[in-house]
Amino acid sequence: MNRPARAMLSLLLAFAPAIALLFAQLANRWVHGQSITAQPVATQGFLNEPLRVVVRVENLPAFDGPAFDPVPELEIKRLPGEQSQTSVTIVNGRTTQLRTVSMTFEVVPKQTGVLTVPAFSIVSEGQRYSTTPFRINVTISNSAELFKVRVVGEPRDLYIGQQGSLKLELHVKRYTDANLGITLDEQSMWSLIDAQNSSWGVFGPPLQKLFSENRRPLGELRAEPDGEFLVYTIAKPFDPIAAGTPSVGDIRVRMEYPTRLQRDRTFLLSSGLSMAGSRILSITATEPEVRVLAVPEGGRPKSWNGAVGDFSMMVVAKPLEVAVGDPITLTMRLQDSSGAAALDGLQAPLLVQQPAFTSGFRVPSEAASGTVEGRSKVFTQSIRALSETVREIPPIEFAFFNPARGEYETVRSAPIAVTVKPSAIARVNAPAGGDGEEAAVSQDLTVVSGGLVANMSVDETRDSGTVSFGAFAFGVGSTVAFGLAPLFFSMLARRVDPRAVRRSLALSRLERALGESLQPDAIEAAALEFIAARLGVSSAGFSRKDALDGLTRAGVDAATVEKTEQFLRECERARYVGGAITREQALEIARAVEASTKSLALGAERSAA
Amino acid sequence: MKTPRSTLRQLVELGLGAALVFLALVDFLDEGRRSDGAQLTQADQLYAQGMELVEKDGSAAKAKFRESAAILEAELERADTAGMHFNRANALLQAGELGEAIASYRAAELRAPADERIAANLAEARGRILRPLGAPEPTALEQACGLWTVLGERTRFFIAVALGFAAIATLQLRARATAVACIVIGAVLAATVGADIARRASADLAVVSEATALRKGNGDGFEQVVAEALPEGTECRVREVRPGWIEVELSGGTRGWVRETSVARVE
Repeated sequence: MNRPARAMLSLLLAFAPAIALLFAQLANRWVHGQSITAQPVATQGFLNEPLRVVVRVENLPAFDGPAFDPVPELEIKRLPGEQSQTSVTIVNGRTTQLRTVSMTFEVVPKQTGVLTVPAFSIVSEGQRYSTTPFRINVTISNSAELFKVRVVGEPRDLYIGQQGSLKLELHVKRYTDANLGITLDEQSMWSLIDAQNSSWGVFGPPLQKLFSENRRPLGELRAEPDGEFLVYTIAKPFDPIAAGTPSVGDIRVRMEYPTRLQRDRTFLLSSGLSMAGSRILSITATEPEVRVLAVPEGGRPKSWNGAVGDFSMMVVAKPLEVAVGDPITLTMRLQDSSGAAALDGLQAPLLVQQPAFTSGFRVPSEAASGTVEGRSKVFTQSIRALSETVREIPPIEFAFFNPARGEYETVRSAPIAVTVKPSAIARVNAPAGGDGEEAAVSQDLTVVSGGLVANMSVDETRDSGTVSFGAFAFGVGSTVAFGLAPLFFSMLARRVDPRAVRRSLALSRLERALGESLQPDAIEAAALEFIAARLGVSSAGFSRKDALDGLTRAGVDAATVEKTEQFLRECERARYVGGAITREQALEIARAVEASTKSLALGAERSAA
Repeated sequence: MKTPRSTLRQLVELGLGAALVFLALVDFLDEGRRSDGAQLTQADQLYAQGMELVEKDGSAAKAKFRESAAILEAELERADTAGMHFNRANALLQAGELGEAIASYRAAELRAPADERIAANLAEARGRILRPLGAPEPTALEQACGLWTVLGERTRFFIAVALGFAAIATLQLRARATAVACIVIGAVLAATVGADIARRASADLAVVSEATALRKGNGDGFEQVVAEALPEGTECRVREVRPGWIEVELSGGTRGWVRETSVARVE
């Protein structure tokens, strides 16, 4: 072997491992099909219209990217999400696995001509993989012929104070595939609109509401100069607050418009359609086709408070017979026949600004809040008559701007007769003389009935003001006690006089003596002792004669004295000749004497003695 | 026969006795002073705080009113005055406890029947009853007591006692006609005070404190006397009390039984 050949062999042997590894990797890539490709949905692009490019990565388990070099004439952005697909093939017992990851990019051309979309690159296990750059031909878009987005007002001219509606109209040209001879229906065309990635401006909430109710705008077929269009409409109420063109927010609607259809076949041999080609249309809404006008200032009535429409007014008052100061409820119904008045913001006539009212009635300074009933609004307000001279509720004025005529108008309610009676109303600083109603209005104070009066003060709460039973008993008892004290002491004095004691006990002592003996002499002695005690004299040497004289002097009636004498004689006779004197005889005489001497004063007894 | 000196001595003794009696009476009648002034002041402040909060925070205001009413209720155990009942009623009414409030107003009215503030707030409270049935007709005693409210109860009592002592004194001076006049007038005044005390002692009023059914017997099993529940604030007279139940008579004479916990007694 010559020297150069040997040197070449040595070199090969030295690099053999590296070469083997290179071949092994190439073989591996070839066997497993590792690759990255970029496929546009079309090579024809349109200015400012996104063109979708699908980047597929095959049999690379993990990778970074894809990345691309920015190009000034193209705006490239990746759409969120990716699709992953794995398939397994077995041929002659050999298993082959294929894993594909698909990512979608949008390429928006910013100029016309032939533009080159740059390569998309990924890095996997330290190895870089890139797609091949490709070219697209960009021309001016004809999307307006296919898809239009308009905002229109209903009505087109609207005054502040009126209520109308704004409509977002999506005009989509019906697609007909000439090859297949198929025209897509209304539902299919709506399904091509990308609601999720569109901006809906002020129409977002009403569209969301439709979706939440599982509904969608229905397409209406309209023949337009460019062909047949399906018009999908989303409406919202419009209550303008400023003149000019209203702001509707950022409205940009995307849809995938088909360029070619194909028929799919499944294993059941049934047929279906799918898009073989499409283009993304992203259309910005045109300027809103509505004009908000300001109401003119010329000829504006003083009482006008912003109402725009064509109104009639009906007023009902209740009750019609009141006292001064009592509330009268006014119910005012404003009916709009224009059909476009903004009733939610409609304000009631401000009565306090109407001199005819304030001269006779107390009216609230603030406007009443009302309720909307169909095309009318009802307001309720309370007024109070200030004087019994009031005879009627004057006409109420209501001014409004009539857009149909372009001028202000004023309607007036009919006067309502009321009967006002005098009432207990405090009139403070009432004007002396004169019928100056205005002065009366400003100087009258009306007592408001009802409500709580304040608490009592702490000192007042501690003052009982009442008399307890104990205090009452003590007061009455002590007074009576003081009044009866002299009598009590007099009785007490009598109780301690031995003569009085002897006198009161005389009858009981006689009964006791009669119980001990019924001998005539004992009975005679006990009877004399009894009479002496009753007369308040000593019984020592007290004879029958002393007894009879004493009784006579004490004013005892003659019959009692005679009966007493007869009794004492019988006792004497019995003592000498024998005979019985009964206990009852003795007690009968004793009771008669006691009764006769009951009222005998001790002083008199002494004189009797 | 009595000498002028002994009469003078008796009159001096009588005067000293009368002075002692009056001093004791003043102490007896000064029941309100037994209350705790600091507690009453706190109750008043809580009420004022509640009024401040009424517009801003209704529930916080009601809590203050309830607190004020609770303090006054505790103080009523110490001293029972018309003012405390009145202030408690105001607090209860502001707290939304209509029935309890009316019962307290009626208790205040029993103690100060001529007070216009009590009458005004009682009328206001009655005006808030959902379906007012009217207050029970006053009894003969209550009607009679309405005749002499021009003079306060305590004033009448002091005059009656003074006239009693004056009668004793004039008897000592042998002026019998004057003594008899003093005794008659004093006795009449004392009788009116006694009637007032008897009216309070015999008060049989109650107020429905929560809407409740009026039943034909003392149990939930009995049928209702009237189909509707008695609204809170309905005033009635107590006719019989059994455990847990009270028989009441409404203003129209309708009688029935209600749960004891559903009524507030006027005491």
